[in-house]
Amino acid sequence: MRGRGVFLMPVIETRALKKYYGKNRGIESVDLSIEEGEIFGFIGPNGAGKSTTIRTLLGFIRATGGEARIMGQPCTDKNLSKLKRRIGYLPAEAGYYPGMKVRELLNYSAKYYGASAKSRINMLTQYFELDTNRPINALSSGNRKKVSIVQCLLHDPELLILDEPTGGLDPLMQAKFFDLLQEENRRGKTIFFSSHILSEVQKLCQRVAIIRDGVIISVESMASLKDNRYKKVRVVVQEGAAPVTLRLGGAKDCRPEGAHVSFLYSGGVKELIRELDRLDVENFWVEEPDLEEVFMHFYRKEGAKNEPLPSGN
Amino acid sequence: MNLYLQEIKQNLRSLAIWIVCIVGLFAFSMAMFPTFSLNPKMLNDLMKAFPKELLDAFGMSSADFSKPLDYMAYMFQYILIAVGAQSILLGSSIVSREEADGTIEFLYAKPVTRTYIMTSKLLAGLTLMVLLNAVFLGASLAVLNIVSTGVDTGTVALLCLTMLLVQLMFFSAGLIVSMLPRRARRFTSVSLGILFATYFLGIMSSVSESLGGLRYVSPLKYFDPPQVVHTGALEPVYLVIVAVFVIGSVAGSYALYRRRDLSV
Repeated sequence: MRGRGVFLMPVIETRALKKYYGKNRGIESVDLSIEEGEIFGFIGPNGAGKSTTIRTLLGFIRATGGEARIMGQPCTDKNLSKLKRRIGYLPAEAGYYPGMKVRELLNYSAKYYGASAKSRINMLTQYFELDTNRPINALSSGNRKKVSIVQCLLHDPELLILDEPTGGLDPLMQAKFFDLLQEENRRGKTIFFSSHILSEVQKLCQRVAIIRDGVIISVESMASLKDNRYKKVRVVVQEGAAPVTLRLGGAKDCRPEGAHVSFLYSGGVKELIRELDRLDVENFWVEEPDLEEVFMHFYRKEGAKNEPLPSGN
Repeated sequence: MNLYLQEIKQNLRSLAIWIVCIVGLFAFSMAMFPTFSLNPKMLNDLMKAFPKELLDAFGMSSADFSKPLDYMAYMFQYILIAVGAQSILLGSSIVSREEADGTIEFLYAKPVTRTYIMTSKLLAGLTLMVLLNAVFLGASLAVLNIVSTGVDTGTVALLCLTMLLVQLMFFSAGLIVSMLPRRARRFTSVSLGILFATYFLGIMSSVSESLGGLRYVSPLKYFDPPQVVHTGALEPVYLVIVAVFVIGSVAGSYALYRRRDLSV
């Protein structure tokens, strides 16, 4: 039987995975453990090491140190050549063989997996409204992305590894793609979803790892990220009042702009009211911050290492 | 088999163009043979006017242009340069092209090992080279039988065998160059540089006795066509060099490719 929690071996597991390109850092130390049946987000700014992690996992590049396993097996060339029957990989950018039509590429791709893959081509190209008679070079970037998506899914893989999967897709196609991913996930597929766009991850993923400068800085469930105790406070003070200096524990990221001040606050409510009273406030708002703002703390370099994750405990 | 066929398909058009050019060049130069063979004195007198070093440099010193195979052997040196260019370009691009075109992630995602990729591509390359060679052999015999009679098929086949050895030599040189860890995406300039450098070293080796050793680094001179036609034999030392170099480069390429990092 397949399903969450039944089979406890992680589908993807890395320990202190490290990759240097000569002297340049790819990743410093990546620890991941992705369970079967999860949609696992992998988020971080450009250059943080997301693609390097994926490429090391799949054996495109050789790790400098650490360990990586997929479905319990070490990621050696030999193991991976068998495991890849069960893995669908969607690269961030893909080039295509000159002069090939969509159908030719998909047929060629399917030949690596056998007859059942070929039979899925029509179903998938229809779903994504892809014209298979056109040469790939002549396609828009969105349509090229669809070709990549179809060829990633056509052998019905158990594990999907998606690197920046939505680039170039229009919102409608993106929604269709996400529907399909959720459906595949319900059928038991594990999805490793790398992105620098938070809202995508927010929509799909159950857990998320945040990577920065080649190090995983936090792994959180999406639920705990959303259930944070931060409030976003915006204040307008009287005109002509003295410049605002907050004397408030638990406030951070304070941004005064003229008479407007906004900050994130995690302290008690009474203290906040007392401080607002002191400030000669004309108007104020207390809101839930969106995830974007929470994540900005992780992305920011200074002091971020010591900051606790705004989880609900 | 899948990748092998794909590789043949991808290279077939370019190979066809090379074949048309090479066979065309050969047919065009052989078309002039009847003129020369009818007036051998005119040409031989003309040759005497040139300094010996020049004749040596271009492999004309011992040629009797009234004989079709002597004439062919002379032209064959230039055919070898073209074939060498095709081989080294094929060797340098057959694996590296996937990286240059950005198709490499597509290929690496497939359930195959690096060894499978290398073997499929090597076999495809070998097939393409043998194809070119066979077409050239057929075409050259046809052309020779038009411009002349009683052509020794065995000697022509022997010339084509030396061509295959030159093909293997330059193909493996291109292959090993493309496996070196470098960021360059196209190896065209390096490959052609190697080809012409070895060509000029070969010319120098035939001009001067003291530079004779340079012949060891000039595959185009290993089986000097006029000499092959006259002796009907290949020099064993160069057969050994070709074998060692080809096996060494191919083995080295496997080793390098298995540890190769995708360059991005």
